[in-house]
Order: sequence, then C-alpha cells, then structure tokens
Amino acid sequence: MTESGKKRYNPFYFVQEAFKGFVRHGIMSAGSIIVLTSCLVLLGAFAALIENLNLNLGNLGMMKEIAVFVDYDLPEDKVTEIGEEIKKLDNVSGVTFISKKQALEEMKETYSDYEELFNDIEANGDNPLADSFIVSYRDNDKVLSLESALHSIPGVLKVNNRLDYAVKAENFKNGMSLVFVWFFLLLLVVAVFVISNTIRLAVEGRREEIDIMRYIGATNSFITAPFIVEGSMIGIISAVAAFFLDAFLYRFAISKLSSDLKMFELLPFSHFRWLFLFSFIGIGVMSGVLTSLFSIRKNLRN
Amino acid sequence: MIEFQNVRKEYADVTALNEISFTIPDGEFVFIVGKSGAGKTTVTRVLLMEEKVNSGHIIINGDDITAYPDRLIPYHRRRIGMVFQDFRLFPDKTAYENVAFAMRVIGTPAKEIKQRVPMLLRMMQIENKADHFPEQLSGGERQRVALARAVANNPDIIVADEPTGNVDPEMSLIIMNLLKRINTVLGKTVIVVTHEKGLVDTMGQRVITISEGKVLSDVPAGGAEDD
Ligand SMILES: Nc1ncnc2c1ncn2[C@@H]1O[C@H](COP(=O)(O)OP(=O)(O)O)[C@@H](O)[C@H]1O
Ligand SMILES: [Mg+2]
Repeated sequence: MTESGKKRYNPFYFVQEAFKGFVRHGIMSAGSIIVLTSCLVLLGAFAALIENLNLNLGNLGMMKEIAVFVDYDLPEDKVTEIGEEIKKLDNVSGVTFISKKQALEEMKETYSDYEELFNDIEANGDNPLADSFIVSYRDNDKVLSLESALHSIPGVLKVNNRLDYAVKAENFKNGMSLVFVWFFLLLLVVAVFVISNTIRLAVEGRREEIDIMRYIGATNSFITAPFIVEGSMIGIISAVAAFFLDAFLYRFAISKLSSDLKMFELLPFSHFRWLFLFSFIGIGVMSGVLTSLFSIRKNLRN
Repeated sequence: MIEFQNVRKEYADVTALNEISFTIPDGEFVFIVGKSGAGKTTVTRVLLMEEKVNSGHIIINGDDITAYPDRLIPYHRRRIGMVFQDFRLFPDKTAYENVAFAMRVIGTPAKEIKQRVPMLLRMMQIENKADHFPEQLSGGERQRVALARAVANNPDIIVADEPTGNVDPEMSLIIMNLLKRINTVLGKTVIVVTHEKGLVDTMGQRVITISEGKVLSDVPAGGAEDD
C-alpha cells in the first residue's frame, strides 16, 4: 500500500471551513484579534519611539559641542578674554560666542507662542540669560578633561556637555525598552492563550465531524488545515488592524509633538510603513499558525 | 484476502480478542455473529487500525497492517468502506454532500465527484433524497446514504458493524440485500457484523461465530460446518 492519491485538494474548502469556525465562535475570534492587535500596536509604538530616540541621540552625539556659560555681570573685555583662553585648550576645534541678547532672540523664535512673556522681559531691560560660548571639540574620549579645564577658567559659571544629555537619554531608552519588552511579552502570552482557546473551541465544535473524517481516510493535514487557516486569518486581520491603528496614532502623535518639540527631529510614518506591515503580518501569522498547531495537537488525538 | 493470525487485543482488564484466527478471501460475503461483548466490534476496530493489537498479525493482500506506521492509517482506511449502526453521517451536510465529501477528502477531482455521486445514490435507491439532511431521513434512508458513502472511493473491503441496529425490520432486509449487491455487482469483500439471526439465516452466507474473543464456529455459505 502506498500514500499515493489523487491529491487535488481545493484550497477554497479550507478557507470556507476556517471562515465557518471563525464566525461560529465570533466573540472568541474578536477577542483574539483585539489582544493580538494590541500587542502589535504596542510593538509598533515602541519601535517608533526607539527609532526616533536613536535618531535624536545620534544628532546629539554628532554635534560634539559643549555650551559654556559665563558669570552674569562680566564686562565685555573679560568675556572676550575667556573666549581666547578656551581657544588655547587641547581638543578644541572652534569657539562661537553667543551674547545673552542673541540667546534671548533665539528663544523668542523657538517659543514664538509666548511672545508676550519675552516682550515683558525686554521692556524691563533685564535679560535673565548669560553670555555663552559654544565650544566644538574633536574627540569624544577626551571630553571629560576638556570639561574640567573649562570649569577651572575664572568667570565660567556653567559647563553643559550635550553628551550628558545623550547618556541620560540612552539610560531612559534602556529603561523604556525593558518596560516595553515585558509588556509586549505579557500581551503576546495573553494573545497566544486567547487564540489557543478559540481554536480549541473550534476543534471541539467539530469533534464529531473530525471523528467521521478519520473513518473515511482523511489525513491529519486535511483535518487540521482549516484550523491553521483560521489561526492565520486571526493573524492577518490583527496585523492589518494594528498597521492602520499605528499609522493613525503615529501621525496623530507627530502632529501634536512637532509643534511642541522643535528641537527634535521626528521621522515620518513612511519611514516605518513597510517594516511595520511586513513584521506585523509576519508576527501575526506566525503566532496565529503556531498557536493553532499547538492547540490542535493538544486537542486532537489520533 | 484478509487474514487474522492469532490476534490478541486486551483492554485494561478484558481480553476482547483471544488469539483469534480466520481468513476471508477476496470477494467473499461473510457474517460475524456472537453475543454482546464477544469481540465483534473489536475485530472491526483492529481491522481499521483504530486500536493496536497486543500480538498476532492482520494480513491484507499480503501486507501485515499491524506493522504499519500511524502515518499510513488514513491511506489504509481508504481501502475499507465502513458502515456503522449509528450511521455517522455529517449532520450539516445533505445526503449528496455526505457522499461527495468522502471523495473530496481523498482529493477526487470535482468533475469526477459530480459524475459519481448521483450514480452511487441511485444504486442505493436514495437518489430522490439527495438534498435531504440526515435528520430529515429515516434510519433506513440514512443507512443507504452511508452505504453510498462507504463505496464512494471504490474500496476493496466493506465492513458494516450492526448496520440494521437502528433500522426498521422491513428496511433491514433491504439494507442486507444492498450489501449483498455491493458484494456481487461491485465485487467487494463484505464483512457484516450482526446479531439478527433471522436475517443471517435468510441470506445463506458464510457465518463466523465469535465467543469470548475466539472463533466458536465458521459455517460456509450453503450450510455445513467447516472445520
Ligand atoms: N474501549 C474499551 N475499553 C475497555 N473495554 C472494552 C473497550 N471496548 C470493548 N471493550 C470490552 O471488550 C469486550 C469486547 O467488546 P466488543 O468488541 O465491543 O464486543 P461486541 O461488539 O461483540 O459486543 C467487551 O467485554 C467489552 O466490554
Ligand atoms: Mg459491537
């Protein structure tokens, strides 16, 4: 005896059977989709956040600049003297003077919404800002010694190394990653649990049918195919739903943030489009199919 | 040819088949009779590989099926058309679809299914109920659909376990005659498990009587005991 047969299965049959099961347990199917979609939406949001953070951290790191603020009431020639001293330091590639007047103008531009506030300040004639130098340097490794040298110049009030921000942001990013990964895994576990229960119900609802199918010589793959298709349907629907939700949420977030956070560069959604679509479908179908397979294996004896 | 060679089948604390041996040549019609609990259904279950034997061999056309891996079970079952006392039709499929689905399961092309199903239903005299669902059919009608399904994939062997158990007495004879026709017209080996002595006597075929998992007697067609 051989395993040969006139194997010309109609794939439409499997889709039709999968659809029947999907509809028969509509609430469970909807629940599976909601949980899996949430899982993927979160993954997308997380990826978008990390990508944007990385971009801006990169920008920060690449600047290789230190802001040096001098004491408030220094006379002009003393400030110029400090500028000359900075130029002589090791690792310094350039020094730009920014007067407190310039700084105020710049601030006015950035925060144009609060024009009145700045007008008041100007009217009173007291500028709360200090004169500063933007010091460019060559080597990130020697930045600490440069910083202490800058501190030791008399008249220097404050030294802001942007690398500090970068390090702080990096730590923030790592902390966020941890929270997100745990949350994602938790949701994925819930999704797997709900999907496997949906498939279990689908299998139980067809147990009698399946027993009869076995008697008439149906192979295991013929019997399980509709459930696999049902699992992948849950995966595909969730992936597409998550994609559109993330697209909407991301555009919404950008429109809100871009006016508030001028100093940040934000990636457009198109940057993520294909990555999101393919990885969502990949993860959605994988988790749908693998969970179905596992659930069938558990709920169907030979 | 089907050969049971010293087949032993034990459930937890019951010996259902106790070293049973018999041979059924191709194209034969044979009754298996015996008291309830004698082991008749177990014979069909090990034949279908629903249960594994504890020892002994079952040889079909020279192949020892007790040595088959599980992977071959579906293909093995395609050579045996099974008929049950409780019909086991798909409840949400019509008579036509029940037969058609059996063919679809083994990948028969749609065109062939369309040609063959009406012919099978006609042969079992149930073509006028083709679009009825099982619950709209009488016991006898359901069993005729089951017969059509059993022969749909042209198996070599038909096994019927108490096929008239849920069928009116007058319809029982019709079912038996249809099984005999499957044997003579289609040339299938037909094994019928039953305890209806009257029917068995009427048919005048070979009768294997089982008791306590063993062959008690084996009477060939025509009457005289064989030993
Ligand atoms: N699944 C099972 N588990 C335990 N005992 C069983 C099982 N199936 C059958 N038996 C026992 O095996 C014996 C033979 O059963 P069976 O072949 O069904 O008898 P018959 O069909 O002749 O009435 C009986 O004693 C029955 O109780
Ligand atoms: Mg029985």
